[in-house]
Amino acid sequence: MKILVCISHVPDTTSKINFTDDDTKFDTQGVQFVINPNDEFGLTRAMWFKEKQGASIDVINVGNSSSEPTLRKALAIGADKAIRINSEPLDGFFVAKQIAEYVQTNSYDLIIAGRESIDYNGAMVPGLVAGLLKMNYVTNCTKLEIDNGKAKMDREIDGGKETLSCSLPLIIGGQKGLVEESDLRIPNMRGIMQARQKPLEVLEAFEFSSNTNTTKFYKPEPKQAVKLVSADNLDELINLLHIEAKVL
Amino acid sequence: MSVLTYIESSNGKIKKNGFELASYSCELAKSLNTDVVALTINAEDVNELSSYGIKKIIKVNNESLNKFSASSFADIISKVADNTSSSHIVLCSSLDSKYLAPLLAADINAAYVNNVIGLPTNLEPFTVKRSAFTNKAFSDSSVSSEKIIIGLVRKK
Repeated sequence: MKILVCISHVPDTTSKINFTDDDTKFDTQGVQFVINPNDEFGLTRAMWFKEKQGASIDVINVGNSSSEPTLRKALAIGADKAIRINSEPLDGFFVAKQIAEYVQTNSYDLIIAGRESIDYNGAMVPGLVAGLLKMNYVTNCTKLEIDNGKAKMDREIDGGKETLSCSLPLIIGGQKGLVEESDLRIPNMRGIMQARQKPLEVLEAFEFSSNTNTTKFYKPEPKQAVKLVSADNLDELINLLHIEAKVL
Repeated sequence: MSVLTYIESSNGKIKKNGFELASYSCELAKSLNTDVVALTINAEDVNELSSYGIKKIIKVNNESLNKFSASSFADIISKVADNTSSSHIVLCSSLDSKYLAPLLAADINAAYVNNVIGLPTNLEPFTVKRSAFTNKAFSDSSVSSEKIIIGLVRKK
């Protein structure tokens, strides 16, 4: 079984979010970048298929050279080969087009992506790839088993979960539940050394223009101090709710 | 050109977020100087939508659609969008709508902007404010595509 895991290179969840160039760009200064957590759940599940069922794992990223340490980490965890599409990830549609183009010439039985990245929270890349390639697609996937070319999975739905099955090839949007946080792997020294020898192929991007553009970023306004109103002073409370909170 | 909004239902009843979606879509259509078409799938009583400004409702009723299927639902929305010449499609942020939205976007070659938190701040180019960085920030996104799918986040 050939597995492709899509890797987003995202700021660590604990990073302070700041913007630069007149709030038009994310400020990467001092920010630690990591494998997108939802992608890491998928990669760890793929490792399980590699160890139990002899699957091979490729990882792919659309990004510039700054994302290579993230791909090397994926290789150190246990992926066999990395592919980097050399371009700025302009938007979700652009990234999906690049991945779909690659998959058309390099077939896979299973493609795993995170259900969303934690930077732009787009939640669109796996679905767009599936739509472009007309592949079976399940997102919010919390469990995945594969046996004899058939996949059985659980999907989170509003207020519960549902169990689905389908044949391969398949693309999933994975999340926590595919594996638990305690199952995530920290690369050991042997893995890090081996990762240096593993192939990291850099391909030029397929020509395609994005259809969305982020023009400005904002940070939420700081929370205001709490105003305490005496229980005897209902007029003031109503006035504050009407004038300041604008909820009346 | 019109605004199409897919209103979700559960056991034949319009979901609460459907009314919010209806109001938003009407305001959006007003700013674009066009009409709104609401689409429901297996909803029974849809009259309440009219009190939120919806004048045209397309009801699709089919037993085979009682269980959600992202590809089937995306296919229906795609066909209705085509028949109504809809340029803007408004969806809610439920897991089901987030599931079908990219399939629909790929099918009709539309831009998909999700986590949208308000009406467009600009129409030329179409620009919306979205939440980003897991609600640690917001961004303005401008869209250059002729067809746009808007995933609306419920106000908290």
